[in-house]
Amino acid sequence: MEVFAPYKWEALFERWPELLAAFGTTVAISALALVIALVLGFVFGVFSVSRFRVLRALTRVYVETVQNVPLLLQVFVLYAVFPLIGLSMTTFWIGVLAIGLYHGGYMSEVVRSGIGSVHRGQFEAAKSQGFSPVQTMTLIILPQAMRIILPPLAVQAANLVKNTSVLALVAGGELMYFSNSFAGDTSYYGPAYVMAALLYFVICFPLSRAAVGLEKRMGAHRHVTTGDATEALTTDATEVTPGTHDITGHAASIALAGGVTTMARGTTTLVPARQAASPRHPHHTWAVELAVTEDGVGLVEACALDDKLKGEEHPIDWESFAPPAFTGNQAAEIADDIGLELAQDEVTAAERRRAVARARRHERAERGRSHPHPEGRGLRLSRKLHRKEPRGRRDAKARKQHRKGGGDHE
Amino acid sequence: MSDVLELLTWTNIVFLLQGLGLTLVISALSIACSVVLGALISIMRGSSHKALRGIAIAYVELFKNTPLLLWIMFTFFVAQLPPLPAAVVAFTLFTAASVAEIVRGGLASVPRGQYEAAKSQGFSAPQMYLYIIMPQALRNMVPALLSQFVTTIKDTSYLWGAMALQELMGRGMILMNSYNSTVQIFAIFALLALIYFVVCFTLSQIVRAYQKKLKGAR
Repeated sequence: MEVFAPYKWEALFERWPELLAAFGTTVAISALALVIALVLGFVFGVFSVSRFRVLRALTRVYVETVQNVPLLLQVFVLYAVFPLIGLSMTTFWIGVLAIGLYHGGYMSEVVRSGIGSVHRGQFEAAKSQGFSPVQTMTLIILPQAMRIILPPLAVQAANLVKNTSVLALVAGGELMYFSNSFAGDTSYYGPAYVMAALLYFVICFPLSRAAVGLEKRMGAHRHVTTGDATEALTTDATEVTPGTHDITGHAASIALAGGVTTMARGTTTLVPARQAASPRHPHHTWAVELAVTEDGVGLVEACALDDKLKGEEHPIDWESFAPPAFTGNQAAEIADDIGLELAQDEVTAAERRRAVARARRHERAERGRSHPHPEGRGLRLSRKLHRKEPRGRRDAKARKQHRKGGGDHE
Repeated sequence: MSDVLELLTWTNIVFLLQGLGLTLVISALSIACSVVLGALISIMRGSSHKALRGIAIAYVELFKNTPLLLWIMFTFFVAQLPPLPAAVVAFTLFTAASVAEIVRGGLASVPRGQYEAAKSQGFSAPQMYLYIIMPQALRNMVPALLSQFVTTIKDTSYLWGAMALQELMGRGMILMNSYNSTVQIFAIFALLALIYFVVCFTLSQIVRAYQKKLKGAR
């Protein structure tokens, strides 16, 4: 334990003003670099989904370059090469610039995937309402993308802080450099590096915690998945980023069959239920109106998509809204598509519940067979929002039934 | 122009490529070791033992929130290992924290039925992981591990500055000492960047192709 002898620590603490200054430099470089990285990240992130080829190509070149060349080499270029062409900077600004540029590349990838997670319909809707491309991005798309972007952004921020340590190799005057020079002067290596580790940890730990916290919070959003993610959900639930989309389409029918309540009360969504042909009537595609009541999500109305497109309305009268029941042959067919076994004529609420329970079992068995993650993130999330398990001793029977998948506690 | 040609001799190129060789050897060794360590940590993390779980979490948090360069300095100056082992140990310790997360994802990607099937056939826990689970998990981990490999290759560039190990960056810097015209310095930097880029870019393209293949296989 000679490495960590008390007198060595004392020597370190005697130089506390320098230590503090070095820590301050690290924080300052990190903060300024973060600003640059964020600006570049958002600008290039938006460029990468631009309809202009030149901008997309430019982004690719930028991202691939900074990601595939070591950061230290980039720092050296600013440090050793730029002065040769008359561009000298202090190591402080070299750090800010090089690290900002480097992480800007990583952040633009984060922003890109965030934008990619927003339903395409949002772009079209914004366009149809007369938003300009810039307005569409800043007012419609990015605010929605933020919940996907934020968690990995916090991770990147922590990495950025860690990477400021490379400046020690060009005498950057920051924390790592101070530790090195203190260790070199005194050969008290132990305290120097333990102290540095502690101080880096103090900055980075809150950032990475924030990332985890944000992910949890953003993930607990009321929606599950879909849009373009629908397809992914049907093949592999883990492919879908949770909390990204309103639940629509085939995923909605699967969720419905699984007894999942994912939409807030009063939400109704009109969606093409199956763009793929239904087995019995290959030329039909379906529109399903889903509604959420206290009893759960239900199929309110189903009709041929053609009717919907023709503008025939199927409004929901919330006053007289009964626990959702299937109506008509078309509803029966959709039920058939999503694995509910129903009589074609009339279905009571009780029958529906039994059918849902059956479908749920069926669905689970199916998923268990075909998916590596039977309860991948997308679906597990929705489970959270699933009807609460009945509590208390008196409800033991209800709970048992609930576990069995018996649907609502009657 | 003649300055650049003077630089691009066979000896110099071989000199740099040997540096690249060392870079790749250190990176590969570190990744291999950190897969073992990372697997151990992620198994500890899933263990029912509270203390083991705590250790695993503390380990991951510690290395996730402190810079790599610090650990390079630590193994070299505090633990006083010789340069090459110091480098491999530092990279292994640091990378294992990330690899542990990757392994955790990989293990989660193996269907539960596989665990049950293995148990029902009388495999012990180590046998089950070794023969049944890991081979399947590994396939899904390959892309993430390759990305980690790219990161490690880039990070080995610290080693020259920290402990004068002659990897690619170090050899570039050594060359820099014997050539001093502006054009030559430009050329050396460009060459270094190019070599790193070609290696890392190729690997990232392989990652992408492999990911596509995995997706298609599902």
